[in-house]
Amino acid sequence: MPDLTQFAQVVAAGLTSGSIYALVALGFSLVFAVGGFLNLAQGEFVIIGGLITIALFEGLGVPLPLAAAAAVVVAVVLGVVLQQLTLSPERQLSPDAALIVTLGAAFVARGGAMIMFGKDPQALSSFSGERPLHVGNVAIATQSLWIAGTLAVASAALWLFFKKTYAGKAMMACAQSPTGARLVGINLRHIALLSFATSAGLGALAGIVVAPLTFVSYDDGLAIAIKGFIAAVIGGLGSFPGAVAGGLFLGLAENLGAAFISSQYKDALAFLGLLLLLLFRPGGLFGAARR
Amino acid sequence: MRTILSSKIAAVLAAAATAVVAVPTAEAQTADSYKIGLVASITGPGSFLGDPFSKSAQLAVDRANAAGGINGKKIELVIYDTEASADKSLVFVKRLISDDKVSVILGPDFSGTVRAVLPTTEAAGVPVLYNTPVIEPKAGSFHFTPWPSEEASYRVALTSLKARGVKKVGILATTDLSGESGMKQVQRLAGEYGITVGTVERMEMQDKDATSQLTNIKASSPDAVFFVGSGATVAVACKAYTRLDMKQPVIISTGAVSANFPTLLKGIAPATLIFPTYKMLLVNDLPASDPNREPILTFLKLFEDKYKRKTDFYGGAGWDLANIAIDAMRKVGTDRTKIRDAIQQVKNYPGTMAVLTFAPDNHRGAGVDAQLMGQFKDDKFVLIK
Repeated sequence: MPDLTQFAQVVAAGLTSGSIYALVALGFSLVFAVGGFLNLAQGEFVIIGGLITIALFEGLGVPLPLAAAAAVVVAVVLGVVLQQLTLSPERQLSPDAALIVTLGAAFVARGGAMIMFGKDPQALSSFSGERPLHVGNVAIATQSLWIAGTLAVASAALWLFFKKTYAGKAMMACAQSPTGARLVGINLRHIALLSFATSAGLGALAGIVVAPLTFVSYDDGLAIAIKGFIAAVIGGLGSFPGAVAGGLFLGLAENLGAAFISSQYKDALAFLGLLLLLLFRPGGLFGAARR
Repeated sequence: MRTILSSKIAAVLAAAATAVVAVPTAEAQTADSYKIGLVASITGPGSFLGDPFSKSAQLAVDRANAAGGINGKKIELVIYDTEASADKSLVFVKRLISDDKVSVILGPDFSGTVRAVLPTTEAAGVPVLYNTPVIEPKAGSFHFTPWPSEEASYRVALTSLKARGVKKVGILATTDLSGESGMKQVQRLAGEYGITVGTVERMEMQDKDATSQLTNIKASSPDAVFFVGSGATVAVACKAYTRLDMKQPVIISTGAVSANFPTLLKGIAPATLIFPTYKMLLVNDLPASDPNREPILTFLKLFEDKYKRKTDFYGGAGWDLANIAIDAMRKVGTDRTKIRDAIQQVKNYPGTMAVLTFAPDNHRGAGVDAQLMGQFKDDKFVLIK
């Protein structure tokens, strides 16, 4: 029988990976809610965030906060360029075409990252040292707290943005009804750009905080994107609370499944969970997949 | 099609280059041109094997050419990137045999790619020098490997655990082939060393955390933990191990610890980490009398001068195998069967991998003595004496 310590340890691990999935899922949902398409390059922003931070901090000795800020800026600029060149609403791409464009962008980003940063996985030191904290017998990596904290701050900031700012309310309006939003004078072009840039920044942020926990490799993007996408679907694609809940749900399910059912079938269990959930709640936990 | 790439750009261009359609020129194959083929997973999931392997083989060929080639003729190295795909490996190997008409082939590396090319190369009678321990080369066949067998490697690890008084070991194995077969080796052999296998957990290659699996292993309180697998996945497991504050000795299967481990695990390598490895990573601790010390230092310097980065034993294998192939061609020319016979005569070759010895009934170059036990101290590899 697994004891309480063991259970708590696994839950902590699940919440950590869940927070990462949630950050990526938020990016998916932002773009989907406004643009109506899936951005398969979402994982590449994560990789770019991690790799640039590592190159600046570990390679050139730039202070970490500065390196991280620079990485977010680069990711946002790349996102803006990609969006303006190919995905802007006035191009009127079908969701399928937009999906393919983002897939192409993902491959270009991956190739570029391989040439610039090499094929070896890269490592970043933990922000607050490598010694774990102990809560009873449960060891918690300090970086896990950074990750969970980043998700909490990002979610709170997004919530305030949607509730308190004009741009945020306009974005919500576009998500609910693009035509209606346009009728009341909201500039869909600006809102679409804003949502894409925000999702790029969120992705980069996720890449920066997760880098010390694992490693960053130029070809990790698609795997991360798939996990984030599943999390977004679990929560209900396009729903922001859903993205957070879906991410945490996926992380917990994976880790509890790996620890107490079978680690060999960890991914299979996660997908099985997804299938069952979609069978009974096709719209996801928060049921926002209505496009 | 004939593509000769400087290996510096090979990694980037190989995939694109193989797509270029060109008409093979019949007259390209003159009686006295010396051609070596190479198939390796230069990009993709096996790039940690194939990239240093092909770079180092290119280095060996370039150096031989700079010294006048063979009888004044240049040696050509024809490189194809398999991207770890079995299908591509077979296509490229067929192309090397019938279009490029190479005399000897270096690689491939991934188990799947190796199995895909074995029957074809044997039927064609082309000597193949594999960059993998997983094959069991038959006496008199055309297959060679410089690597000690998997079983020999796991015996080295288990011997070392036994010497530390370990009675029960927990296993964390990756779900790929190296993890799968390694796990079975440990389960099969452990009893001979008085060791029982406790909790066995698995880890996907792309997993970014192993906390849950290790929590289970920790709860079963083994005397030691065995990480079985390859590549950066094992490094991920090492990080999780340190973060869980586990104190038992942790051992990693041979070959999983690569040259970039000190960078990857800077400040977070488990204090109790030990690993069987090849001489190259521990070269600084080898006695001056060691026959492999000079070859390793020479190779590492040449590699770093040319590519401005470090490499490890997969590079060393490329260097040794290319040099053995060149020596054989120098001796007997381009005839494939004669080259096979010449490689069978290689005795006590002081390579970077080990002292390699082949024979008609022994196509595996290295023995158990190719491996040593190492550990980390201050983010550096140290030989356990």
